[in-house]
Amino acid sequence: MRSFLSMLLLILTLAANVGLAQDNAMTIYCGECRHPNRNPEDYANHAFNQVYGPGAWMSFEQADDFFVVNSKGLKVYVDIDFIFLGVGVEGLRLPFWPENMLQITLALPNGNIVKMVRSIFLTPLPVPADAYDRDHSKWNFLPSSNGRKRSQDTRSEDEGWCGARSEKGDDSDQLSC
Amino acid sequence: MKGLIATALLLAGIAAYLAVTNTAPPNHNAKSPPPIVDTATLPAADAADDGTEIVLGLRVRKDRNCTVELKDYVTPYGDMFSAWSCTPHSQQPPHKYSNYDDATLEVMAWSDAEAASLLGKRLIERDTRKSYELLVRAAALDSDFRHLAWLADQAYGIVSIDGEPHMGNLSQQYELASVSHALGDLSGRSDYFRQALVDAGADEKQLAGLDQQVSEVLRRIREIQSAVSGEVTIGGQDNA
Repeated sequence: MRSFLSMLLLILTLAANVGLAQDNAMTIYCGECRHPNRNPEDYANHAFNQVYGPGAWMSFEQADDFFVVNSKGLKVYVDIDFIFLGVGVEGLRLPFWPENMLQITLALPNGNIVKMVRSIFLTPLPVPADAYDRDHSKWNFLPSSNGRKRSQDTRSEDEGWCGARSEKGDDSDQLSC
Repeated sequence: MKGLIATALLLAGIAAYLAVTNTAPPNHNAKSPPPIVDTATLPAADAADDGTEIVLGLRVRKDRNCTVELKDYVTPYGDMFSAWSCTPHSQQPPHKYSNYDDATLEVMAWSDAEAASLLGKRLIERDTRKSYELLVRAAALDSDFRHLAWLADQAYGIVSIDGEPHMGNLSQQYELASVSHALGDLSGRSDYFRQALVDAGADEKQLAGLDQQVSEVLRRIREIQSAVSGEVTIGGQDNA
């Protein structure tokens, strides 16, 4: 009974800390960022520019994780980490030397987790970043959160961060949470 | 004893709830928008030795060239949300060739690295292959591997989706990083991407094929350098 209660108290404390960390993540605005499910690179580039380059203003502490929101209120969770060269010993790889690269992890509104890399000596990066617009087919294999194949022309992926459908119809990018 | 435990449990739960709900999440339904304050007019609340200071409750860089603001925004559907931004004090000057059309830049790109680079970046949306060729040419002309790093970032930056490695992009990243290494990039990115490919399941045959492509790109770079300036700046041996 006592161990059960200890475990419960521990879980409650950890849950509070996790919730606290998520709530402390700041939200920054990106007016030029397009739909996050179709153009996640916009968010990676915008996030990168806040930390490096002539427009940088966020401290590394602030840049660890945060949200980027576009003009339609669509939010992307961003986590930025340095990439280190690893030294491997018996399958265990330890970080050894910085690679001048950042790994930017994006949690998209449709539930996809996308990891991108950016070189730290290249700034500023373009927003919107149209690099992927030339080949929409490479995005079509991305399943949406409900398992359907994504398509460039359908608006079915215009779901908000909460995954809830707007009451204003399928053409809406509005968050309903 | 049980009552005491129950009370402790209840208090812990209440503390946990308050810890989560009393923080200040972005106010999506603010009735009175927070004031927009120019941080240039505010004294720093706290100065740290690490080059940062606290402005409006945020720890930000001292050397920023912009004004930190917390603004309210309204979506096209009438929803309101708050978000931080930093408005630049001055705009970046345009590229000196920004007014040149593509045809002019293409002619200049034969011997001008900046023209080749600008056109390559312009075309990355419309014609990736052409963009690739132009950025390789730019790297060959001025021996600056950053043209290739830009290409790698913008065209092949996604390395995994939902934990599944993107083999095509990892391969391109490895190829471009290996060429960059031959041009003087000492960061070891090629080693990183080679290991990433191995971790993702690439076998020796695939890696050998990629190394062959790296050799081909390096050969083209030598040809460009030889044709334009007569001076080859990368070694005769492939460094891949």
